[in-house]
Amino acid sequence: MWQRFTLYDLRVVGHYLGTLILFFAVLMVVPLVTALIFQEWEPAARYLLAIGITMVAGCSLRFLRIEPGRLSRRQALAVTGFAWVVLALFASIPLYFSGHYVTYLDALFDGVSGLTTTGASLVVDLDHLSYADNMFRFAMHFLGGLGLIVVALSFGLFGKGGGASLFTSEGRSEHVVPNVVQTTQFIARITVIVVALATIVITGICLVMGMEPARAFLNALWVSISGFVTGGFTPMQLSIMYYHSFPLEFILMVLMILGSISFVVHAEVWKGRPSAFFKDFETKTMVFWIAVMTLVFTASMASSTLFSDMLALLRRGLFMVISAFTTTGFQVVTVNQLTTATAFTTGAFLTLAFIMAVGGGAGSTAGGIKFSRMGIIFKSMVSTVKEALAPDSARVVVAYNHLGRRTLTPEVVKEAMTVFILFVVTYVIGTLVGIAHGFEATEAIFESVAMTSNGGIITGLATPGMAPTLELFYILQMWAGRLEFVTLLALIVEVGASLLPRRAPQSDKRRS
Amino acid sequence: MSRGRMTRRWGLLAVVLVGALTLGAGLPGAWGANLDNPDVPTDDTGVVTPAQDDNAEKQDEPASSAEGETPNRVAPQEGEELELPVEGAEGAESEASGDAVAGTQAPAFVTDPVFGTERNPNNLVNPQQKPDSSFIYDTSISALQEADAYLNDQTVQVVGEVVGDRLKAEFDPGYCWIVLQSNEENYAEIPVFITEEFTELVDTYGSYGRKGTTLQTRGTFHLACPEHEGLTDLHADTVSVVEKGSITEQVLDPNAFIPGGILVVVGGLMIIVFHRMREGQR
Repeated sequence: MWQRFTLYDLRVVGHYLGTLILFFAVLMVVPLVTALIFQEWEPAARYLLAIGITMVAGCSLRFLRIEPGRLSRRQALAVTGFAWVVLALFASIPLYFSGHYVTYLDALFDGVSGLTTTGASLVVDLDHLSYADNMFRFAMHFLGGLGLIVVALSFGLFGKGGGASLFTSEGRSEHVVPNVVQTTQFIARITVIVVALATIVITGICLVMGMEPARAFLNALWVSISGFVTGGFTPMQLSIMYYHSFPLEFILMVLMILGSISFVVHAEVWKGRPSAFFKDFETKTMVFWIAVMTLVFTASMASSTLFSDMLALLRRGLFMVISAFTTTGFQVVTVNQLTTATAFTTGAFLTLAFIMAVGGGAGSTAGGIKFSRMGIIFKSMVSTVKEALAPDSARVVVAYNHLGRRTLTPEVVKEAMTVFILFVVTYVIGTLVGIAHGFEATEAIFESVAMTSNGGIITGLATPGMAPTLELFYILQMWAGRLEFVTLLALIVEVGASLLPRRAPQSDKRRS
Repeated sequence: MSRGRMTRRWGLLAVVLVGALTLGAGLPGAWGANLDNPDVPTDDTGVVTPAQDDNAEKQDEPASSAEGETPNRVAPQEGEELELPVEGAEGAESEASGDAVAGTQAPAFVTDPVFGTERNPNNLVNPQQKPDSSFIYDTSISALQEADAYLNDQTVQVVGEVVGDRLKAEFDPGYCWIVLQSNEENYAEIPVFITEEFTELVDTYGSYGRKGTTLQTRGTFHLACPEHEGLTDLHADTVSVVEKGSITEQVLDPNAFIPGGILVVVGGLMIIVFHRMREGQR
């Protein structure tokens, strides 16, 4: 029998959601300050109003339970699951009233895309968007990339109430250090350091290119955040093509790769053990997978008449491959080049979709199925073949290296297979929804993968004012992909079970 | 009608057509023999100019003709115009050629071998039309954004607002990049590779609260530029200002902050009350 939410559960969940919403109001101070600095008065008033609404809503929810007590695992799942969409609802308020969105749903789409670090955007006339609105978009990326719960825990927002449950429910199972709060603080520290360094270098590049100092700094900060958290939002409509700078593209490639590596591996390298990175089975899977797919991609592009020269392939092709596997979504080719088969072949286009579908490393900011799961499934196949060949009396043991030697267990394989199948099923359903809306099959596949894997490279299905049914499904895909399904499915089942009327006990029926 | 009779009719028609074509080929001034006819008024851009119209245009706009403007070019509404002297050498050559055509005496009409003199003088076909990029497509940025291979390496002309920044081209001294944004609803954009000299025409770069200078740009469109590693771009040859940029002043309206301020105060009070209640329970 499915477990239901009790009134007590709802009050506790409401309290913690209220805490997160209040924290989100604090995040909105960043665009407010930006607006005041650059004397953007209309955005300043808009963000002050949004802060007020968010604060009142957050406080009201906290009143549901003054002393919430310790979070149970079920409650933690509900808090994490709801948080991504509830916060996006509040994020959409200032975005929608910026006048840069055709419908309210478009603003909500951008809110979810920003927080889940998908990077697909339905903003209209991005190049005339205020600095404040842009700052808010990238602040959402920063928060979502690290993880709402990670950031909240690192600030100690949940006190001692169920931090470990919350941490695990957000798709992170490994601790850098035994203490959850210290782990989250470590993740936040690494991110701040890397983003700060990248911002300094990219600001220099932008200044050399002739940008005004303020614009150079802001552009550098925003693309650095977006690159490291593998988000994909850019301050300019032409994405990274806008900058026409190979050094900048190179730095972003490095940032994206760094962002797609597990924070646990980062920690080992920072502790002076770089061999942990090279020995890790996830790194080996990554190298193998990317090498094979780059080969396929290059071979496919060789038949393109317009895009087959080596320099174009190295500069644009390599960047797109990295942007796809890290699920960032930065683009150095136009949607037209991707889709019309005049520049990119359909084979190369689909190869990018496959790369994006698998995604980056587990425990990183990247989305998709993840290298570790692909590696485990491969190891499981090896194990099956070994068992078939081994004598009956033999016991087959398959091991893999992830921060030390580990044995492949049925539980690990089951988890990897379940998430893999859920991803594939969602990719397929998303494709069918796209096709049902009258779009081409290849583009529908690509877009569905881009949404579920939080990849964010879009090809024209997700456009301002798109069909609401397709838009809502894409929002669901982004949400599900970020939570890696289990949390969301558990939440949906619990909510569904709670809404169903209780069956009368058999004894009562007989009596009546 | 029987099938045999139909076949005979088609056969007869075919014989008549072949005969007419053979006869036509033997006549002087037929299509195939007229490829180098100097009397066909044309220029190197491949655009046919009717002689009478050409003369009239010459009388009406002597300055324009002297500049060698092609007949299908859309004249800028206001402002200056700059042309690229080096990269636009081909264009300059064509313009010189155009001048030469315009400067000669009005050419006599070529007698049409099929229709004789009973023809529309405006309905001219140029047998020397080159299948190359010399034709100018007066198009839109959104059309370029969705362009198929047919527009690749063609000379196009677009109008759009300059947005963003002027960025120096990393491997091409003296050149830079700007972005033109479509004036249409879809806000399509195209990066433009342009000389620094041209960008002096730009008085405002579009951003929040700033409407950039609207430029009319003529140049070569590349779906995947061989010089810029496959980038979709437009290499500008000629630039003229259509509309100057403008800056919208940001007016501080204190009343706009009141609703937000009230809500923030209410939120702050709720936080205080919450903490009091929590302390009370402990």
